[in-house]
Amino acid sequence: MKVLIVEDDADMRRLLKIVMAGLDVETEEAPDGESAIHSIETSEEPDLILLDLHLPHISGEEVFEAIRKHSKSAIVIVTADILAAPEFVSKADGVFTKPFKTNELIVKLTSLLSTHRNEAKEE
Amino acid sequence: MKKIRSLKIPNTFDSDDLRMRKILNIILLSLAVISFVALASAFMYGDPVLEVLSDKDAQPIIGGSIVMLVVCGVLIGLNRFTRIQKGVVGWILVIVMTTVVTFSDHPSELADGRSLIFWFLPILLSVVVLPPASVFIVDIIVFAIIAAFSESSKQVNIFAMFVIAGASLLAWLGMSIANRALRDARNEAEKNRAILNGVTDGVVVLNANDQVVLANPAALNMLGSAIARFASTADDDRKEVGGRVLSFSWSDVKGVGNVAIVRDISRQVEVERAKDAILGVVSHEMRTPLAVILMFSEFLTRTSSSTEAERIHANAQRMITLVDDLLDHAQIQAGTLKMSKAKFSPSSLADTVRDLLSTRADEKNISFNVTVSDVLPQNLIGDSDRLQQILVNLIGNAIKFTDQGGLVDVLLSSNGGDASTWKMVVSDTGIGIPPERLPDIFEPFRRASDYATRTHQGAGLGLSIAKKIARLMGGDIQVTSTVGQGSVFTVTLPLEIAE
Repeated sequence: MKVLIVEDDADMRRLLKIVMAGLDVETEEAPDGESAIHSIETSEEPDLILLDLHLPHISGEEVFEAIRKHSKSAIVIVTADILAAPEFVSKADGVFTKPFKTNELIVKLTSLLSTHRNEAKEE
Repeated sequence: MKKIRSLKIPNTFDSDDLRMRKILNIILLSLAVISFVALASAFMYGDPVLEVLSDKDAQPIIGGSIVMLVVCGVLIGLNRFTRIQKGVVGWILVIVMTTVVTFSDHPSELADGRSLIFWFLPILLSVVVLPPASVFIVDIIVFAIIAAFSESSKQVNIFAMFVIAGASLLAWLGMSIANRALRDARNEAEKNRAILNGVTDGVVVLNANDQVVLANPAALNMLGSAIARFASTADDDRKEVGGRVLSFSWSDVKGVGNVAIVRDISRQVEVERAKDAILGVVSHEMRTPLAVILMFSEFLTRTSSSTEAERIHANAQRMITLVDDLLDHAQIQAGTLKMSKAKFSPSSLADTVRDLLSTRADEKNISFNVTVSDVLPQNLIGDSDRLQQILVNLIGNAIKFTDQGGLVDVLLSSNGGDASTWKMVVSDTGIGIPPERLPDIFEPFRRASDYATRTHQGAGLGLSIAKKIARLMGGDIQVTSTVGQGSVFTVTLPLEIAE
């Protein structure tokens, strides 16, 4: 299983990586929207994407739309923008506002990854 | 009056002159009408025109009337020219009247005073159409005429002269007082107008039919052409007109009408908006690093259980609560805070609140109970996150202001006889709120405790946010308090039962 972390803040990336360490997944990082899209297009499609909304150059909203068009990956929004977060509740597979409870994120990711795994098996 | 206005007296900007010209116009018109009637009456009996013209008795009437008509016509014309010095037309009329009186009767009757009454004509006329003091000049002329027609100096009727002089004095006195009163009233009105024109606030007066009867330059400048569509809408206190935000305060002034004070608050509104925008950005930019601190310290407390890491975590948590409060406040101010609606259970809301705050209550050895009444339906519709926020703010406050060993009770229940609402009651045995502070405890950045001592932490936003959220939900928060005994906060909310 592969998780792509799209986050411009290096500390937050590190933190998310620590959280991911508790799960049996391979992680990849992207500090901005371009590299995230580039990563999805060039390498193996991730099973899950952790996406920040405030990103340099291409905003998280645009990255979200771009990923949704080309990829079946689950997308979990992780943002500090509590004003923008509500509109993604219905669109994304999960929305977490920073600071989030790490165990809550772990629970959510585990369940998303297992459904994804099952779907992959059925196919 | 309309007729007189249609004669178009030029505006000379000298109100005294204007008034006299108007009076002259009225008198000249009246004289012209009288002369015309006299002229017409000579021909009224149906006698042949030539016969009337040759009648010796009729000739002076016809001739006099024609002369008067011509004189009145000329004077009415002259009265309209501003180039003619003020008073000139008046003097001409007075002299004409004097001449008419002089030649209308037998000279000896004038001299011995039998025709005394006729002299009052030019005298009263002069008082009205000329400056009051000119009556004395007319007196001198009249005296001269009387003297001239007296056969000898002994025959001069001193008594008649005294009556004329006395009447003149009285007329002069009366007119002077009236003029003074007029001038004072005019000065007062001008002063008021100057003030009205000078103030930077707009002043608009509407009559009972919502027609603008007065607007000062500031109001015209602010409202522009919109003043035509101006109407008294007493409840509308803010309006955007031509890109400017105007505030209106209305008052019903007896005898004047609906008076609106209009103020341009664009700048103020702009500052408010900028402030809210800054607050939003700052809050967001602060949340990201704070989240990192909070979550790393959370890791540390779990892996190394150090007291230092715990303190970092607790303080970061406090900071984030503050930032969230500021953000909520900014959203409330900007009117962008939205309430969601979803099914929730009051008892799980109570459980969450109990979990969140029992540690804080335990630290102060406060007995903390959250009870859900049986009468409340199992599931309701509402924004449970925001309801939780209201409760956390109220209970947090209650714990903050209650001393060691005190009591904080929370009850979620139906609202007595009112089936359309339900309530959440937070009561404590805290320090209470002095009655004079009660009105503003829901104002942002204010608290009933003393600022100077800073014995209690917080920005003072909790109650303000709680009240605003309750209002956005269509409910409200009431408070009763006794100093030294405690406070009771009652949140009433519209009841929506989930099916």
